[in-house]
Amino acid sequence: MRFTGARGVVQVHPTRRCNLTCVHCYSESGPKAADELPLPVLGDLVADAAALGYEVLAVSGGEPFMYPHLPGFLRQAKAAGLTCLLTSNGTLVSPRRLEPLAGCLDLLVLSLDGPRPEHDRMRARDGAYDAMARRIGAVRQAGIPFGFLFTLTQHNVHQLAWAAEFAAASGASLLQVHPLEASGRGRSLYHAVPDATEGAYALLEVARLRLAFGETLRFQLDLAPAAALAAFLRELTAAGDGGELAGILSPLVVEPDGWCVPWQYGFPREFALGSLFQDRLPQLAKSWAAGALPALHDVARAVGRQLGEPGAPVVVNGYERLAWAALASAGGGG
Amino acid sequence: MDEKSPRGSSFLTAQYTEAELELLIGVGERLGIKLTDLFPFGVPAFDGASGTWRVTPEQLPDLIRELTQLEKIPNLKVFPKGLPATEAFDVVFEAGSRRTS
Repeated sequence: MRFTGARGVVQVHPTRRCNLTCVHCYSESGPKAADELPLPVLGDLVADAAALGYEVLAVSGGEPFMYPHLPGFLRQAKAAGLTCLLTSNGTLVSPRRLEPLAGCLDLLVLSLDGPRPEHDRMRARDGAYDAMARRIGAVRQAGIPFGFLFTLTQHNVHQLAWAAEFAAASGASLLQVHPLEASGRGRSLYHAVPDATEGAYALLEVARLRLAFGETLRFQLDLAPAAALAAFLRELTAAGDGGELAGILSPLVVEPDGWCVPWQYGFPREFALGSLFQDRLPQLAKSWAAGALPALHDVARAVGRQLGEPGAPVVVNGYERLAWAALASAGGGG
Repeated sequence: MDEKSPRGSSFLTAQYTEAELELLIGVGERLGIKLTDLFPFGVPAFDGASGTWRVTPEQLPDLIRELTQLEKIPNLKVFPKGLPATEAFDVVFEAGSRRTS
């Protein structure tokens, strides 16, 4: 049982360095951020992750194109048999940067937060939209499948149709819709986190767009009906803690300081597997399964019960809901 | 993106399909009222429009009644024309799209 469906996903943030300082960045990445994972650590990670059953590597950041060892990292992931996805703000994409990734990158996802004014406001940079848009041609020319990642806020569900049209017209194969989260730099935007009503509209709008676009464009919405999430959490916790890591924990998130946490960047470290600077993944996984996993399942059960109570929201961001519950359980408030 | 910004869904529910716009504009045509101004939004994919009907004082109640019986009622503004005696009204409608770009 895993959030990511049939395939186990290891999500890696190799650096917090970024050329932008987006107002909603959950990792508070920016030009001055210095955290960076050494290539040998990542090389061991992808080999270990593949051995533990993970099939997909999702690279995020920071801006991955600012990670100097990106081509080597992806080559090692490919050699380990992983499917490689990468999320970028798109402003640094160029033929020179794409060429070394040839054959290593299975999907490039570019951030798209709405038409030019909204995108630039979210990216805190005038011209960010134009810089991203004029580089799409280079991605197409490189023959790398690509998609877009749209941040859903309280104020922009009506722009999903625009984003879908933009994505399809650009030749993209995917539009991923991820709700804004009040974490990292996004804490100041707590009022713009989509509530259950906007989430429900997003669910309906994505369903409508799926019908309208058919095979042309795939949609992924990182929100779920509460009832479905509750049922999933019941199955997840009933499945127990046996089997390989990828079967019980996906996505596994590796943060830029080497810490491995469940499900979401910034997940409370009381539930973490530990740091890759302390031990390799198989050893971390072993002690985690015996230590933190039962407590994590307790959190998941509690969230599942809450979602079944009267007055619970109809649509929820499962990752965020679990992270907040874990924080409360660890004594950090809720 | 401040706290006072409207919900995205408020724009979504305000969107008009091309067929709904035809129904709206058809109200004036049925009453023999001239549309003096029409500005469609969202070309080529229409999702709204604004426009103006010039009506006589006698036509105004019929037009308002017909408009308020539509399934989607547009925003309406009514401006009297002529001083000191009102000779006509401009009925301005705004329907659907509130696009920001």
